[in-house]
Amino acid sequence: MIENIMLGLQGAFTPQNLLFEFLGVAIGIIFGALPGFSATMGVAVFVPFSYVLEPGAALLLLSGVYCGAIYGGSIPAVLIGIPGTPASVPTSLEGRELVKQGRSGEALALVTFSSAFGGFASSIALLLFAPLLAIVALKVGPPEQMMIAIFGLSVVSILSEGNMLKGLFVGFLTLLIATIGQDPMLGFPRFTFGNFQLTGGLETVSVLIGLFSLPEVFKMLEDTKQSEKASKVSKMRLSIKSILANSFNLIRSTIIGIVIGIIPAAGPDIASFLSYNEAKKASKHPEKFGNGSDEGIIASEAANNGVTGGSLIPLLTLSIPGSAPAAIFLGAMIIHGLRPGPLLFTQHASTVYTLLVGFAIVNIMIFFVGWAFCKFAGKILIIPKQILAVIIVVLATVGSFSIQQNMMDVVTMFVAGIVGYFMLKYDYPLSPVALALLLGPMLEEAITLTNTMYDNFFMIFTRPLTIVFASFIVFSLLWPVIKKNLFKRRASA
Amino acid sequence: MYKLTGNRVFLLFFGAIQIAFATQIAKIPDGASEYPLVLLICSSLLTIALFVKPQKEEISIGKENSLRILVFTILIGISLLLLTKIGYILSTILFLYSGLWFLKLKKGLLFYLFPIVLSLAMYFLFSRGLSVILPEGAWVSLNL
Repeated sequence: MIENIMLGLQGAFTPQNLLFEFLGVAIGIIFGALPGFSATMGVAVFVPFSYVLEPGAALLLLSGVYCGAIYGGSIPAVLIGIPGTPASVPTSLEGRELVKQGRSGEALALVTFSSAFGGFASSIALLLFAPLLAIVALKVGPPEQMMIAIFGLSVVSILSEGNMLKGLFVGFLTLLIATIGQDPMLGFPRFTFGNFQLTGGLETVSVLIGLFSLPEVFKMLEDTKQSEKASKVSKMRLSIKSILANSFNLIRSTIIGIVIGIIPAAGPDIASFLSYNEAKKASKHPEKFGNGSDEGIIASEAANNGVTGGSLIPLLTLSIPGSAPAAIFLGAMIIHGLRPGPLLFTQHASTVYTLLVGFAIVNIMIFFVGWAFCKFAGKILIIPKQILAVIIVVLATVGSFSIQQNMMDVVTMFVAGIVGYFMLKYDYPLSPVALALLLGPMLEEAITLTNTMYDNFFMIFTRPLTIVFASFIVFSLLWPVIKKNLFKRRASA
Repeated sequence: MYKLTGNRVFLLFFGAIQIAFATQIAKIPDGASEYPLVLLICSSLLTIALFVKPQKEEISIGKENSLRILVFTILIGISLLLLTKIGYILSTILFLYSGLWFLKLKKGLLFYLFPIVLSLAMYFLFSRGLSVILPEGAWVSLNL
């Protein structure tokens, strides 16, 4: 093991590989920062570029793009309230409030530090625990996936605190809208109204771009005066006090990210929502969530970057990709003659350990490259509102078009934007839309497969992991009530 | 009789979507219809509950602001319609000039140069750098 790690250190620190790690991170950050461009798209676009490189360098370039894009998505989420990737939605909730308070620099510093920490810790987990943790992934079947999806959806109750009926309405309606297109079992086109372009369903990223970008533009038009606080970028400063106070939150969120990353089909978006939810539940100041909470940003960022290393664990050891970018990563590995599995670690030790060590370096680079990029990206805030409004529209349009190079996605984005504006106006929460769109297809498929597997539904509780996830759901739903009673007792004592 | 507030009109819009979905559900075969049916029932019940419950007072943003948002939305809509007619570059330049003029950006170097620079930069970044084939015009085509 030590020998292999030394081999990896030698490989990852060659000038050529360091250059590709740097390039990957820089490109990934730009990709993530552009609304509509996801980490998946970034990795996909750069797979052909990697053909000409040797396997180690190629995988490091793709790792840089992958990790950089997950981090980069949070920069526009903070600065202009548009999440570059769905995983940055919780960050945008807190980030834009911090920007309004004139704390944009602090928010970006927290995002950069938490992302680098989450990513670095996940790369250490990848390096040390890959074969061990892969055993858990082997035991996750449809019943467990169903429980994970329900657990994720239970977050709606937290995200809609004080507005539960509207939150549930948005959640159920979005789950219904997510059923547009072919059903997972029979392939029957549902609710397409004869429009073949709806057969594949609504493009989730387009809906999210519209929902989280156009309402911001319309709100800018409601108040054309430039906000003094928001127009100045505060100094990039990392608050050690805040980091120390949140050290437990940081570690817990990173662990959530790594575990979610290991579970197939549950990507960084689910991890960031779950972790945000857990941080809110555990917080001494839950009222700060949604009003510019440092805890919320740290939780979301550490978790979504924690997924990166976690998702490669089942990929490298069992050929099971834990996320969409990991699936593309698998394709790139096969192209380079590396077939994932237990033998990979012995037959291609040099390349694999170069990747594992390089993955940790990539996450350290994210801190420095990201810090520099944020200083530059912060200029977005001093752009006049008129310019910013039209830039957002142009980015949202080209971003939604580029997903599948399809005008239908642009129309989807536009309609979602208008609906999103009225949702904000009439006090409907937007976050349950993202959650239900991302988890809906996974939930339906898991329910259908579970029904096929068991005649008696309750037989799923003979599976230990199902019981574990079911307990998480019960705990998640009951925790707000328990916490309220605990606080009442403490207050009366 | 319920007073027709903005929120209730918004709920009626969703109600219409749910009715449209309900008309389709009978056409879906068994095995593919149960899950959406449950969701349709739940969401419809919640729509009714939100419709009948007492409404909060709504804050008006004023006629001027509403009109500004409406016109800007129409500008976006027109530019999207024109994307496939006059191509990405021209429709984006047109949207940027009309949008900045409508939002009263001071006419200076920024006003005149920004739309052209942004449209071309986005075009080259996406079409050349990222291999995205942006819409070409059916009426006029400007390919660089």
